[in-house]
Amino acid sequence: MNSKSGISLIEIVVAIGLLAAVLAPVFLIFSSGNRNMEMTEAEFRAHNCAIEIMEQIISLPYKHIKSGTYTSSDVKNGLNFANSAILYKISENYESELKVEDMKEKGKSIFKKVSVKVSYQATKNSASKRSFTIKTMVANETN
Amino acid sequence: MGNHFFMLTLIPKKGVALAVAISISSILMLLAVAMFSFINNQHLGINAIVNGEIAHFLAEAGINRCIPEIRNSISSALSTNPNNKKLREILLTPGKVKDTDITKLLGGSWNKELEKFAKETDETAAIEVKIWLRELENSETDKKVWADPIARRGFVVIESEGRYKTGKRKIAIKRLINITNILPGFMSKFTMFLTEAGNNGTKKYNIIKNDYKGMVTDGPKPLILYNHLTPETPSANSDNWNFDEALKSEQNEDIWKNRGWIWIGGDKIRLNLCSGAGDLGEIFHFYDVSKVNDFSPIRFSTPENLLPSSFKNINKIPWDKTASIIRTVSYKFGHSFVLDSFHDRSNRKSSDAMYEGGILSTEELHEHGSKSSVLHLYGDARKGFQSRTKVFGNVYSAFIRFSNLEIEPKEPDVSNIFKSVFPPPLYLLRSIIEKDYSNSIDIKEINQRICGGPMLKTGMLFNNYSEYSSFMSKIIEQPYVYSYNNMQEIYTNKPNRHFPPSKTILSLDTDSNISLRRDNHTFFEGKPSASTALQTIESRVHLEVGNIKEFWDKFLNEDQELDLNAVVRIKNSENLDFAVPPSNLPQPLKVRGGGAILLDQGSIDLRGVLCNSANEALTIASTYGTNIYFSSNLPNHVNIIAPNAELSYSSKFILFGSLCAKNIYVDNRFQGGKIYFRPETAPDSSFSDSFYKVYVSTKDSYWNE
Repeated sequence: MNSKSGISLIEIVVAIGLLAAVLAPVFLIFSSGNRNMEMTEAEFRAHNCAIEIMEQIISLPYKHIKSGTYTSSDVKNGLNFANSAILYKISENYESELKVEDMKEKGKSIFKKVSVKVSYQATKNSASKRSFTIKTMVANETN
Repeated sequence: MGNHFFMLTLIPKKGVALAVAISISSILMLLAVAMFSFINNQHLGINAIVNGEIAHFLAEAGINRCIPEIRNSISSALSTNPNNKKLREILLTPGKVKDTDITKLLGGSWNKELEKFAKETDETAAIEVKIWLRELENSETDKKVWADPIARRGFVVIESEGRYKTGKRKIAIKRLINITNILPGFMSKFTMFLTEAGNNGTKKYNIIKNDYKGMVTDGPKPLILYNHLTPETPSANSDNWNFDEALKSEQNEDIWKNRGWIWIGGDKIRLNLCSGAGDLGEIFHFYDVSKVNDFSPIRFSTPENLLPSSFKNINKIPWDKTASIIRTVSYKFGHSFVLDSFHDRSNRKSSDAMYEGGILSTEELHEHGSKSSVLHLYGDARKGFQSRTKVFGNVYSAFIRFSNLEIEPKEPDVSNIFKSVFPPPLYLLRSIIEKDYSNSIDIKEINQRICGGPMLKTGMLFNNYSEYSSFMSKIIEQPYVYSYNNMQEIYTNKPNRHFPPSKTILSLDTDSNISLRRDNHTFFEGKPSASTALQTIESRVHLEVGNIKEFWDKFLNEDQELDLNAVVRIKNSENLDFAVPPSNLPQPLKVRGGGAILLDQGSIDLRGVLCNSANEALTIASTYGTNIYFSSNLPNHVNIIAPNAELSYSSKFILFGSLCAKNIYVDNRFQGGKIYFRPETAPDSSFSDSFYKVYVSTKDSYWNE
C-alpha cells in the first residue's frame, strides 16, 4: 500500500532529469540576454557618442570645420579639427574616427561631407570590436 | 491520530515530484522566453532608434547637399542662367503661383550623388530630395507705395527622405523665397530728387560766376544732369552713337515721358540760366542746336495782332541822316526778341556786348544778379547732350529777353542804305523803370550808327509805360517746365515762332501726382515721397547685419568684388560712415551681383563703384544719414536714397543712377559733378525686368519630421 502512494526513485530521477534539461537552455537564455543587454548598452553609448560628435561639428560655423581625418585623440582635443572650443570626452572603451571632406565647385567650398565612425567592444570580455558610422553633409551658406 | 495524519501528508503521492518538476520547468521556460523576448525587443528598439538617427542624418545630408545649389539655381534663373526658361517663367509671371514641384526644373544631379553617398554607409541606405515652390503670393500691392505684380513672397520647401535598414526619416524645411526688383521703385525714374531744395532761400543756387563762353570764373562748380542715354552711360554703345538720331528724338513732344525726371521739393527756387557756348552753358534753352557746331540764336516774333496799333500802319518819320538831307521816310515796324542768359560782367566789352548800353536796368540786374545757377538740369551744350525732361516743384527759370524793334524802310534807296550796314542795324527797346519813363525817350540804333533809320521816340509807338514795358527788354521769370515748351518749338523748327509758345505741353507742377505704368500695369499712382521709397526698400529686406564690417565680410567675394544679389539692412548702431569701397579695398569697387543696401543710420561716402553689366544696379539708402560725400572723381554706378542727407562738398563726382537727397550744400568748396540717368533702370522701361532678383533665405522657417 505504501509503495503505491510514495515517490519512487524512478520518478525522482525523471524529475531531476527534466529540470536539468530545462534549466540548461534557460541559463543559456539568461546568459545570452545578459550579453545582449551589454551589447545594446555599448551600441547605445556608441550611438550617443557619434551623435554628440556629429551635432557638435554641424553646429560649428562652416569656416571653422577643417577638412581632414582625425583620430580619437584629435576628437578629444577638438581644436585640431575645429577653430573653436570643442571638446568631447570619449570613454577609453571607444575609439572614434572623424573624416571631413571638402567638396568644391569653381574653387569655392560648397559643402562638407562629415563622417563619424565609432568603434567599440561589443561586451566586456569580447576581443572583437564593432563599429558604427554616421554620415551627413554640411552646407556652406555664406549669404 | 494527529501523527498519523502528519505522516499521511508528508508521504508524497506517486507522480507529485514529476508534476513539481514540470511546473518549475515550465515557469522557468516562460520566464526565460519572456526575458529573451524583452531583451530582444529592447535591442531591436535601440536598433530602430539608431537606424532612425542614421536615416535622419542622411536626410539632413540630402538637404545640406542641395540647398546651396538650389539657392544658386533659383537665383541664377533670373540672372546668370536665363536659359532656365520654365523656372524663369514661373518666377516672373505676375500673380499667385500654385504649389509646384520644381525638382526637375532645377536640373541638379544631387539625387544621384546622394544615392552614391548613402551607399557608402550601407547597401540599404538611400536619400531622396524633392523641392517645392509653395504659397507664392504678391508682396507689393499698394499703388501709393509701389505695386509690383511680380514681387512675391512664399516658400521653397525641400523634402528629404533618408533610409537606413529599418529606419526611415523625412525632413521638410521651409525657406522664405522673395522675388523683388532691386531698383528703388519710382525713385529710379528720377535723375534727381531733392526733398527740401528751396529751404535755404530762392537764390541759393544762383552763385556761379561765368563768362560769356560759359567758363566758370569763380565760386562753386556746376552740377549737370543728363536725363537720357549718353555715350558715357555704361549701357550705351558709344562706338555706334548716332548724334543725329539722338537729336531726332527731341522732336517728339512727349520725349519727357522717356526721360529721367527731376523733383525739386520745398520752397520756391529760382535758377538763373547760364549763358555761353561752352560745355557748361544751357545754350539750348535759347539757341537752335540742331545743326552741328552751329548754335543759332532763336528769334521769337511777336504776332501783329498782339502789337499796338502803331505797328500795323506804315509810319512817315524823319530819318536819322537829318544833318545832311532833311527827309521823311516811310517805315514799317515789327517786334521780335531773343532770349539770352546770365553771365558775369567782365571788362571784355566784346564778350559783354549784350549788357552794354544800359539795355537792362540796374534794378533788374541787382535783383537777379549776374551769377548763374549751379544746377544745370537739362545737360550741357554739346550736341546730343540736351535732355529735356519734366521738372516737378516750385522751380522758376530767369533769363534775359532782349527786345528788338524791327524796322523796314519802305523806300528802296533808304532800304538799300539800311541793308548795307553790317552788322545789321539793331534797335533794342531798353529796360526802363516806370519812374524814368516818358514818351520822349529816344529809340536809337544800339551802336549809335547813322544808317537811314527813323528818328524815333517811345511815344510814337507806345501809348504809355504799361504798353512799353510789355515789349521792352527785361529779365523775365517763368516756371522752369515752360522751357520744355519753348524748346519743343525750336526742335520742331516751327515757323513764326513766338513766345510764350502756342502749344503748352507741360505746365507748372508743384504738388504733383504721378503715374508710372509698364505693360498695362500701374506701378505707382500718387505723390512720390522719399519716405515712401525708403518704405519700399525696407519691405524688401532679405537679411540684416549688425555693422558695416560684418557687411563687407559677408558680401565681398574672393576677387574683392561686391557679390550681393540681395537687399541687405545694416543696423550700424555705431553711426559710422559707409564708405564704398572701404579704404582698404581697391577703387573702384566692382559690383558682381547688384542689390540694395539699407543703412539705418550713417552717412554715405562714395569712392568709385562699377557695375559689372548693364543689368546690374546697386542702390544705397540711408534712413537717417546726414551727408553724402564723393571722395573720388571715379564714376559711381549707384542709386542713392538719403532723404535726410545733404550732398556735401568733396570731390568732383560722376554718378550713373538716381540721386535722392535733402538738398545740396553749395558754397565755394562745392566741386560740382555730373549725374547721368540710366534709362534702363527706369521702372516704366521694359528693360527693368532684368533687375528682378530672387532670394532664398538661409534661415529655416519650419522643420518637420
